[in-house]
Order: sequence, then structure tokens, then C-alpha cells
Amino acid sequence: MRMAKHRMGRPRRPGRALVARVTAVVLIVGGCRPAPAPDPLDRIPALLIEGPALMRLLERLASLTDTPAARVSARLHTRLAGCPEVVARFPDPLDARAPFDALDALQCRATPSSVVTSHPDDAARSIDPTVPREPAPATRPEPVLLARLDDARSGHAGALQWPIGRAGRLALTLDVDANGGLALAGRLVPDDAMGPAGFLVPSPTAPRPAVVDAGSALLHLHLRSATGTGLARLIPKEGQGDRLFALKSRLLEGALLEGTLELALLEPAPANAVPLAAIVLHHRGAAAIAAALAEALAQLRHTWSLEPSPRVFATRSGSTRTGGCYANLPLLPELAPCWVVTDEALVLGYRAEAVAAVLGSSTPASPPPQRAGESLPRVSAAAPSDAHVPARDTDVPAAAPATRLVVDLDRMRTLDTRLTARPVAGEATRAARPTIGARATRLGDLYDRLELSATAGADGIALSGLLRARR
Amino acid sequence: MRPRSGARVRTIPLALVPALVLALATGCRDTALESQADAVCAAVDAERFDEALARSETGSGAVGAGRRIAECRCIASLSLGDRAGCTALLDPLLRAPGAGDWVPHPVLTKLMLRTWQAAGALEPAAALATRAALRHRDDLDLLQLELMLRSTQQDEGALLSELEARAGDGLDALPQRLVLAVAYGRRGQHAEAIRALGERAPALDQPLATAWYESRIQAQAATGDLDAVQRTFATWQAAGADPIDLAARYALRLSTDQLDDPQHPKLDLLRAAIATQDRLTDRNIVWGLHRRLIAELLAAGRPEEALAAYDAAVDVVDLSGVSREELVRAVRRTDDPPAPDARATIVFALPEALRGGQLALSPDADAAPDSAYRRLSIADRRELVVASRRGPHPRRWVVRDAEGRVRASGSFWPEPGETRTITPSLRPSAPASPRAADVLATRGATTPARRPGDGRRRVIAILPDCGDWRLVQYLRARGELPFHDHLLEQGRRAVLESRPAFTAAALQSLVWPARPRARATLDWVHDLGLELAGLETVGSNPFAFLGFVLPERPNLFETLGARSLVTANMLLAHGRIDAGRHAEIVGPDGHHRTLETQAAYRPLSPRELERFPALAHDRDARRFAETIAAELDAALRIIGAGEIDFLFLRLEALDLVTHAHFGALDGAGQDDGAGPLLDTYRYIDARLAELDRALDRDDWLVYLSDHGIRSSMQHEEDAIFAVLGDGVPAGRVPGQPALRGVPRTLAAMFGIETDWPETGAAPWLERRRESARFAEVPR
Repeated sequence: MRMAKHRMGRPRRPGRALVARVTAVVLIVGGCRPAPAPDPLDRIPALLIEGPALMRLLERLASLTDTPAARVSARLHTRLAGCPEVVARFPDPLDARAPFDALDALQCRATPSSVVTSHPDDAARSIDPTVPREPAPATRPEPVLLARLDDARSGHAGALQWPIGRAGRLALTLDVDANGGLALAGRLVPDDAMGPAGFLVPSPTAPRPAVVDAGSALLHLHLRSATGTGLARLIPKEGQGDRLFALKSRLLEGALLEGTLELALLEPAPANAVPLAAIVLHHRGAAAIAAALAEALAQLRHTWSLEPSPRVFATRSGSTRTGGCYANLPLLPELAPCWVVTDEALVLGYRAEAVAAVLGSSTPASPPPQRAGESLPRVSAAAPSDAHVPARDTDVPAAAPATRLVVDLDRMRTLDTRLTARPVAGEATRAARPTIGARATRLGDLYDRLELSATAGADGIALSGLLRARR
Repeated sequence: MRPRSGARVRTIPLALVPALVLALATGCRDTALESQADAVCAAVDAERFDEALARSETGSGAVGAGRRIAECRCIASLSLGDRAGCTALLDPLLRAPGAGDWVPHPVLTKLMLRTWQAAGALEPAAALATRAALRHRDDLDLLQLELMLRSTQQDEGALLSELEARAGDGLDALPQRLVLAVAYGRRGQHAEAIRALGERAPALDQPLATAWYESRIQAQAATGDLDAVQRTFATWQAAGADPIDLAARYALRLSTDQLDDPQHPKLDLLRAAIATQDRLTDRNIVWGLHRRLIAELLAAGRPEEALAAYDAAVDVVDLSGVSREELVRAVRRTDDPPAPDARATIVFALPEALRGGQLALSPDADAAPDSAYRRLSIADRRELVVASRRGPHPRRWVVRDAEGRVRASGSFWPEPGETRTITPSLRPSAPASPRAADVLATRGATTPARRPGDGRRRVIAILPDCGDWRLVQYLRARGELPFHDHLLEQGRRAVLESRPAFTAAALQSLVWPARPRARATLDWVHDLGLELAGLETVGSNPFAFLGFVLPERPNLFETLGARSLVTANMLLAHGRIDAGRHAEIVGPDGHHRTLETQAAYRPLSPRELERFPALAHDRDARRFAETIAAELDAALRIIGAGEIDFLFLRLEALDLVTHAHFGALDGAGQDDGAGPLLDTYRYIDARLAELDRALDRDDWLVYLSDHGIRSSMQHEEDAIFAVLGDGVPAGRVPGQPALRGVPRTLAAMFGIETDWPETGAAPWLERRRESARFAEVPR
């Protein structure tokens, strides 16, 4: 029956243990206080932002050549130009097929802050459905909601709130600098109905030091999940992943894994095009994880009749470790997956080059995390409409917070220059047909770095992030 | 007390007397009917059918024992060859109000369902199919009938979901799920087909294990997902299947679905598989391998090798439908092009009945395919001699008598230096076939009288897949395509060059006219997510959100639908055919949504079958026609609803019926325009007239094909293009503009300028830069 539900496309429910873990974290961070009844206003997805700040962001995004972002941004820019403030009450749920259509809900707030002085009865009207009221446009936020967003904005350019699951909530403040750079800060109250996304909720315990050198990666996620180490729980029993790839083997069970996980995206192998993914699973003991790995490989051998080749990898300390690779597995382009077990972690790579890059870099690993609760510096609240977003790497804190995602868009732009100069498959015979995208403005041309951090605290997950604009 | 009590006793029977009498009478009758039913059915069981009929002259009914009498009588009738008697008996009974829970024996039920379907009585048929399929869940025939009949009465997509839920997901439901997967596949919903099949492969000793694997692979191939196909083959092999058999199936699948394995060229795979043919137990696979090898070699421009493959195969498998002559001709075209003046002599020996008539002959080899037939007056001659060069197509002829009635027609291959005599065998005189313009001028029923314009232009583009200029001209010469006459004479036409002459290539250039996109880092991440989405445990692209900031390659629909226009894509895109998303509406303002679900088939009406009898020539031909019927019905609905500004509809089934039946028209002699292929053209012509009448004068009808047909195994590189509507100058576009210029033309029809390729398909639009009044009409 579970399989049937999955096939029918219904949302997968997390396993009981997963739910229990998330619930436990929620209770812990909530100080074990009984949860107050959720405020209906908190359950409304809504945004309030200064018009000029939004315009700066839209102007920048509108230059992303031939992208939906550019199309939507240009449309919104035309429609909302001149608005002192922009508000939106988004549809809930979003249309999964066209989630960005929800941005059409953005509209001018005609009289800024007028809601603050609105009649107190407005609050009752907007919350209590039994109170008669004028029909409002479906996407126009009620005054009481606007008042809530005004409060939440607290001197920043904008405030966004979004319901998460059944009782969780995301609340962010937003600032946009003069170049269209974006800074955000806020709080996530997780929920036990977050599905697989619940895996990204950080644990109050800091992760182990990173193995991956974030400075050499295109993307680096460094995480210890609140849901624990049982990655295998995310994989349906006897599902395709389990049957074909042994993903639900003992290898991914919590007993063997320490809980820290890193995901990295690295530059393609020489002469190749596909960026290389690497997953680093920190373990509790190398011998146990090696044994579990051997079991999983045996199952793969049985399923696929494929024999891996041994492969020696050099570690950062100068020693070597023997792992293995499947040569040219035709499941994904350029895929030849490899693995190796080190003293700290099981490293899985899209190709051998990915594993080597994780292990063999001469650059030291990222420094240990700082205490829970610290995060990236907040954008100055003094000038929210012209906020400053850190411009140089030195502005970024040296110590990483509990959970961190870094996307090096600058490095990505350099790589893109190389990738887009390659001929497009299937087009070689079409004489001199230039490809679009080769000279197009891409995200890396507008922004050079994306950082997101999350730290579990007493009243939820503290979030901060920046999307730093090029000048 | 007693008297009072006695009075009560007396009064109660008095009150109940009528009811008791009725009950007793009914009971007696029931008993009698039961006995009669027993006797009738016993006679049937003993195969005393005459006795059964004699005993059941009366008593049949829609309730109680009357049902048994009717069923047994019906079986007796069938046994004696009286099918009509059986259906005539059951028809009114099954429609009776009390028959709502009656499901006759499955044989009788299927008989009635098919009878009703043929008669167009779809409502009672759907009702009976519903209750019968519930009663006989394991009967796949009934499930298919239920699907077909109920889809005429309700949303087919919702029906499939209902049936899928009803089937369940256990192994015992595998037959039902296979049927549903086929139904989903027919609708182009291949992901749903995979879902209906289920994730769990049956063990190889299950009777339907091969069907399950093949269906899954077929659906994966239809989505163009080679990796998924390879994964399923790997799983199949891991389960213990014979590697040699799987290699053959893999080669065949790649060829039939036009998938390219970068590591293994299709020709190599096919040849390697054929080398193992003695070890293949499924002879259908051997048959398919040989035919596909011949077709692939022809498509690759290697006719000599195709001929050799034919000769190697002809004693091994049945190659009917593929003629050696067409391969020889293909070789000749390559190796031995005829001298320009090398001609054959054709002598038409004309019967007396053609005195005063006319011989129409298709244009010579070097003429454009839309050239008119050369008309030769017969007068009182008994012979007409014509010289003809050899070309890539047979020459076609039509003879009419003095009254203008078509009496015979056919085709021949001229062999330079040879003399051939053709003696038409005259058919009974049919009513005269006047020229269509005259027909349209005099017959209101077919006159494309459009409503006055409303100031808003709609463009309705119909794409007959494999629509062929030469077959159109042949039927026009027979006077059987009155709407095509109107379209081509009153509208603007062009002979397009479609190279390579494959549907996938043509549609890709029609829908994606902009240049291809180079993949950068985030494109790769996004696209790898698409690959991961193929895993059931992933299901959807986990990196889909990146699409927001990734460059799109704007397609025709997105470009037209970016502002005020609303477009509908009904190009049946799937897998190897990258033509956007089928059944998607784009616009206004670039919004995407799904078109209301359409039925995959629509049974032909009795009137349609009467007018176009060859559409029921065989099961496949009928299916193809029913597909076209459903598609054109959908077009009519869309036009009637009025929301859509641009509809692009492909009649996919014409390609299938062309490949199946072109052989009989490929220089094979006198054919008299008969057969399912030409009836399909006639049917499309009639439906196009219907579509045109639904338009107003501001609307433009575009009719274009993706390629033509050269032989039953080879496409032709010229394609049809015609535009009809007020403001479209009549005439012909010079030269042979490339098909890839059509998207720019379509955009220009709405006043939208693009930098897409301009090939001269509609130079009048380029010159005039169509008036702004149609460009962005406020909605």
C-alpha cells in the first residue's frame, strides 16, 4: 500500500522514527514548553518589502538572459515600478507545476503603514471567518497581516513568512543592497511534516570539521541533521533505490554513521563537462563502515554483474587509501562512481577525480565550526533600503556555523566560460549555428557568492544568508 | 372479544386480497418462467438449439427468469448463426429500466458491447461495460471495452485513474495494469504508464513477466530515456533473462523508438542481433529485426545494403509490405540515375465507355509535387500514348468518362526504353465528380462559409503526419478532396523542404526554432536532476527549482504565449519527439497549464463508416481513424470554446496508416483510389471542412505536413504547407522553402517578430509585417 501511494504521487510521509526525531528536536529547541496554539496569521504565506529594494533585485534578475527569472522579474518590474511598498499574500499551497506564478500575487501597497492605524476590528474581521467582511482580492493581505509583517520587518527592507508543514514556520527579514545583492536573516520553526526536507534541519550539536575544502568547491553543504544519521530511512524499503543500488543496506544506517554529512560539487574532470558530486559521510569507525560497504558492494555485484576496480587515493596527510570505482556506469553522463573509506569518513564521488579532490587537496579543511547561535553578520539595519551586503571574502566570517551551504558563483562563472564554449551535442553538423547561453548573462555574472547558514537554537533554527552581488 | 377479533380477521384478508392475488399470480408466473428457463437452457446445454428456440418464443425479459430465457435463447441463435437475432433480442431488454443490474454471460455482453459500439449506441454500451467489468474483473477484453466505451462518455484521464485504483497493485492485478499501461501510452502519458505497471517486476516464471518488462521499456523509450531503458534491461538480465534475447530486444527497441546509444550504433546492434537469430525463440523479434535493419539502412542512405539485407531476410521472415522493387529503385536512384531523355512509352488502351472522356496524368519526374495533373482528352480515341521519364515516384493516372465520372485510376513505374500497356478496368459509374470549386459553390453543406470576423486572429494549424503532396494531388485529380481544392486554390501554398525527413527532426525545428542552449554548471546540475527523477524513489527533479534562473530555449508556444495570446500544443510530443509538452496551454503572459483531457479514440459514427468504409478495413486502420477522429473532435471543441489563439495539432496516425498501406499505391497498378490510406485522406478532408466552418473570417487555417512518403519504408523530403483565411493572398510560394522557417511565419501571423530562421515560407507576411490590429488584441 505504501508503494501504491508513492506511485500515485502522494506525499511520502516520513518514517515514525524520523518524525520522532524531528519532534524531539522541536521540543528541545522549544524548551519542552507545551506548544502554544498556532496563530492563524502565522500560517499565511506573505511578503512585505520596500518597493525600491525589490526593484533593485528585479532589475538584476531581469538581466538573466532567457530565463523565467528574467521574464517574471521584467513583468513585475513593469507592474510594480513606483510602488513605495510591495505586498503579497501567496496562494497556499503553491501550484507545484508553476510555483513562481505565485509571484503574480505581488502588488502595490498603496498607503504605506496605513494598517497600523486601522480600526482594531480589522483584526477580528480578518481572523474570524464568522465576522462579516468585505470580499477581498484573493491575494491581497488583510490589514492585520500587514501590521504583522510591518512588525516583523523591524527596520529591514522586507519581511517574509511562510508556513512549514502543519505547525512550522519560516520568518525572514530581507535587505537588498544598491547592487541588488540580497541578505536575509530569520528563524525556522521546523515541523514534523517536512518530509525529506526535514533532513536539512540542523542538529543542536555542531557537525564535525569538514573534510571537503570549501574553498575549492563550487558548492559545499556541511551539515549535521537533526533527524540523526539514519539516511537509510529516507529510502523506501524495497524501492528501486534499494533494490538496484543497495541504498538501504546497513551502510547508511545510523549505527555506523556519525551524523555529519558533506555534499560538494566540484569542477569537472579534465576534458569532461559534468560537475562532480562528492558525498562525505562521517562515520563512527572505519572498520565497521568498510564491512558494511563490502556488503553493499556485494549486493550491487549481484544485481548488476559489475565488478569494481580497486583504486588507490592519496590522502591529505600523505598516506594512501584503497577504494574502488565502477568504470563508466552508463546511468548518468560521465558517471564512474568511486569510493574510499578514510579515518573520518566514507567518501563517495561521481568519478575518481571527485574523491581525489576531496582527499588530496593541499588546502586545509574548513576550520571547526563555531558555537551554535553564531551566524553570518547581519546586514546593517540602519539603512534597510540601501543595505550593505558583504563584498569581499574577508567580510565572511572565518568560522563556519553549525550548518552551512556555500555556493561559489565566482568559481562557477569561470567554469561556465569553459563549458559554454564547448559544442552542443547533436549540433556539430549544423554549420555555424551559435548556441545561446555562450554569451548569455548567467547567475554567476550577477552574483559571486551564495551563503546560507542555519543554527539550532532555543526557539527554532536561526537562519542567515547572503547572495552577494557583483559590482 | 371474539366477534371483534373475528371482525378484524375478516377485514384483514379483505384488504389484502388484491395484493395476495397479485403475489400468487406473480409467484406462479415466476415459477413457470423458472421452469421455462430451465428447459430452454437445458436444451442449449444439450445443443438442441432448435428446441431451445421453440421453447423460448416467449418469456424473455429484463428481470428474473426472463433474463435466463433471453440469454439461453440468444446462445441458441448464435449457435445457429443468427447473430442479428440474438442482438435484436437482447438490445431492448438490456436497455429496459429493470436491467440496470443485469450482466449477461461475458460472451453475450461482449457481443452486445461491440454491436452497440458499431451502431453508435455508446451510452447503454458504456453502462453495461461498467457493470460487466466490475463483475468479471479478470476479463481483459471487458476491461478494454469498458475503457473504450466509457472514455466516450467521460473524461478518459479520470477514468484511467479510477480503473488504476480499482485494479490494485498486487501481482494478481498485473493483466489489468498492463492494459492500463497501454491505454496511458496511447495518450502519450508514459510516466503514468510506468506508474500503472508498478515498480515490482514479476518473477520471470510469471506468464506476463515479458509483457511487463516490454511495456515498461516501451514507456521508458517513448519518453526518450535511454538510461532508464538500459536500467530496466539490466534488471531484466539480473533477474535471469537470456542475454541473447535481451540484446535482440534492445536493438529492436532502439530502432523502433529511434533512440541512440552513443556506445553502440543501431545498425551494429541490429546486425549483431540478427547474427543470433537461430537462438532467438520469439520469431516476432526476428521478424522485427530484419525489417528494422532494412528500414534503418534505407534511412541511412545505404540502399544497396538494404537490398542485401532484404535478400538475406526474405527466406527467413515474412517481408510482405516491403517490396524488393522499391529497394531496387532506391539503388537505381543512387547508382544509375536515368538519362534525362530516357523515357518509357505508356499505352493506355481505352474502352469504348471512355469515349469523350479524359485521362489525367500526374506530373513528370522533375515537376514540383503540387503541379496539376496533365489532362488529355480521349475524344474518340481507343489509345493514348504517353512518354514518361522515371523518377523517384510512380506516375498516377485517372480516367473519367464523358460525363466527368471517375471510372478508374492507378499508378505505374515507367521503365525507360520499355513500352507498357495499361488497360483500365472500368468501375461502375459513380456520380460525376465535378471540380471542388464547383462543388463548394453549389453545395451549402461543404461550403466553407465562415462567420464574420471578430477582429481577433486565431491560427489553427493542423499537421497531418506524413501528409503527402502526391497523394493529395492524386485524390484531387479524382475529385475527392473538395476542401483541399478550396484550401490550395483560395489559400497560399508551398512545397516545403523537410530535411531530414523525420517527424522528430521536423517537429523539433517547428517547436524549437531558436538556437540550442549550451550547458553550464547549473544546467548540468538541473539536467542530472532530470536523470535522477527517473528513479522511482526520487520521482521528480530535485533540482527543478534551478530552472528559474537557467536560460530557456524559447519554443514556439512560449514565444507566442508570452503576452496576450493563448496557445495549445497538441503535437503529441513524447520521448524522441521533442516538441514541447503535449496537451499544454501556454499563455497569456507565459502561464502554463494543462489542456482539458482528450480521449485517445473516438469510435467512428455509422455515417462516417458509411462514407469512408475503408477506415474499417482492418483493426489497425480503424484504430488509426478513431485516433484522428478524436483529435479533430478536440480541435473542434477548442475552436468552439474560443479561448485558444493558436492551436497546433498533429494527426500522428496518418503516418502509421501511410506506412501500413502505401505499398498498394506504390506503382502497383490500378487501385481506383481504394483502401484505408486514401479513405483517411478523404476523411481528413471532410473534417477539415468542418473545422474551417467553425472559424471566423479573421482566423487563419494552416495545414502543413512534416514530410511526405516515398516508399512504404522511406519518407519523402517535401512537405505540404497551405494557409487559408481573409488577407492571405492566393497562390504559390516560389521554390521550396525549408520547413524550419515555418515557426517564424506562424509568429508573424500574430504580428510577432522573431529572429528565427526565415526561409520564405510566407513572404507576404514578411513584406507586410502584418497589421498591428492582430498583434496584441486586448483580451
